[in-house]
Amino acid sequence: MSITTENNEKMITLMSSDGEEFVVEEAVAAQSQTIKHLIEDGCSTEGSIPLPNVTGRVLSEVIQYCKKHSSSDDKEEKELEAWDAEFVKAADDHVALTDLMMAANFLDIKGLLDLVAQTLANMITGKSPEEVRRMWNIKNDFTPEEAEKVRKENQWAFE
Amino acid sequence: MAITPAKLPSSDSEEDIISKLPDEILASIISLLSMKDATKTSVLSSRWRNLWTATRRLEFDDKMLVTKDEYSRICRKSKEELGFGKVVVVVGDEIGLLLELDRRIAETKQHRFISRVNHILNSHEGSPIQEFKLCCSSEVHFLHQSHIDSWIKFALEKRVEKLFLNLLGTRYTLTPSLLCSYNLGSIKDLSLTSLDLTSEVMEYILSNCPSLEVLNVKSSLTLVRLQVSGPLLKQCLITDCSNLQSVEISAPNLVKFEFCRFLSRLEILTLDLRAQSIRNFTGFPKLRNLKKVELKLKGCGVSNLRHCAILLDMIPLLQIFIVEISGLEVLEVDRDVRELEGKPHQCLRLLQMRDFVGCTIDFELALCLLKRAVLLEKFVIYASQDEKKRTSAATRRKQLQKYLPPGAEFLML
Repeated sequence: MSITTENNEKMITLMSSDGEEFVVEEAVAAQSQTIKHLIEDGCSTEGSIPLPNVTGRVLSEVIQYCKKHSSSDDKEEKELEAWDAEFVKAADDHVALTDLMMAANFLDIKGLLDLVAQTLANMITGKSPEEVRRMWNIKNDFTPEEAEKVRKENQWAFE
Repeated sequence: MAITPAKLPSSDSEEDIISKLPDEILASIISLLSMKDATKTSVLSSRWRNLWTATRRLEFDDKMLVTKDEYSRICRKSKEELGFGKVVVVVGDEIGLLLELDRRIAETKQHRFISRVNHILNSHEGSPIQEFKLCCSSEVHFLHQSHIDSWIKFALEKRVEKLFLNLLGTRYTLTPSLLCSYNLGSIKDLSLTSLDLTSEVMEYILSNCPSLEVLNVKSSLTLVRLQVSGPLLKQCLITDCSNLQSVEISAPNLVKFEFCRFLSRLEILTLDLRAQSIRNFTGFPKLRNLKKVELKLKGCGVSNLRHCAILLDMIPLLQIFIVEISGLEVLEVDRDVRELEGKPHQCLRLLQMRDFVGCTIDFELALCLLKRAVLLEKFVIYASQDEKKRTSAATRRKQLQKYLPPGAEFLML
């Protein structure tokens, strides 16, 4: 389905896995390489583009990011950086970040992927394995012997 | 800044969601960590056990890879082997014994470092890699050319983007024959510290790294000549290369170029700055042995080039100064000529100005240089073939004539 607005912007409809529809400018959606290719392949003509891997909640955030980054070519880089920082801060829950990461990966939006990866990496930096496990609910499934073995192999990193 | 809050109740906050991300995503997160933090993720859980081996950043520091435990074990073992604490040492032999102990400890440590690097590289899964950093700063006697060769080969095979080598503790010669079997197209950032470099290897690198943006050469005592070029080269830093005699720079995109200390032997410098709008030379290092400078500038769009004369303050022994200003028009900047005072320069003997058109801009520079070059022997103007420019240059020549130091020859070609 393609609608044209007063500004002559071509609009497309994205449909999330839970059936929510988002009408966005094509230029905004095309920041996702995946969507861009779908449009190029003519997948948008038969109706909205289905995105079976992304929920409406996550998709609305992704669209927010894409809107900001498509309209700000001429804006100050610093302003955009500050916006990005606020954006990930708002999602400052590793579950939300993980969802965003998955969506960015599926939709192939490099900027967003890098941004979230950096945020998650910052969360690990300088923390002990115990702290990381607690933060992300990672279950230590090593037997004591295995744990000892892995630790010994990489002992240099713990000093 | 209006951003809708993205905080939402997580469905099951006890769930380990991160570990469910695909390998390549986790590897991309791990690649953003320092190698130490990356390695530490191996103990999180079995899911994470080997993920770090796909890191795209590899950093090796000979101080880092040997643990304290290992170090004390090495010390103990070496002492035992040498019979420390058991045998009564013959007086006078103690120093020899202590030196031998030091040597053994260093040897074991270095073997440990070498095998650890090899182990990590062998278990490395990812390709390509972004960064490869090797730093050997302690005195290394057991790290051979062949080890470093093989590590550099590894980085090149993995299409490294940033390659940093700091080999202070060892003597290592980088050769074109090592590099020639690899495609160097991935390298964007290259930093070479304390390597034995030759003009040949630098020429090979610069003509075979089309993507190179940043070049850092530090403390190479073997480097005598250097020709810096590269279509994408933006930044070039040359430090502590005390045997460097000649540097030639022509890189259209160079934004930052720095020479630092200990370029004391540099005698010839060619600076092609035609792609830049040079505003000033403040911060240019004092180059005490420099005798010949060839400066290529682009004149159009610039209103003032007198600041080039500041180079005379930085290069006290300069004898030959060649300035080529391309793209000037006769009527470029129609304003009064401003004179600039400056200290007399005692060494300048030959001054050449190429593409001289006699407009305000090049005339001002000529005037300024001429007034300072008190012992000048020869001033040569190469005027343009264009008739209008030639006429204008000839008029300016007459005006310059009266500023010519006594006895100096003045030619217009």
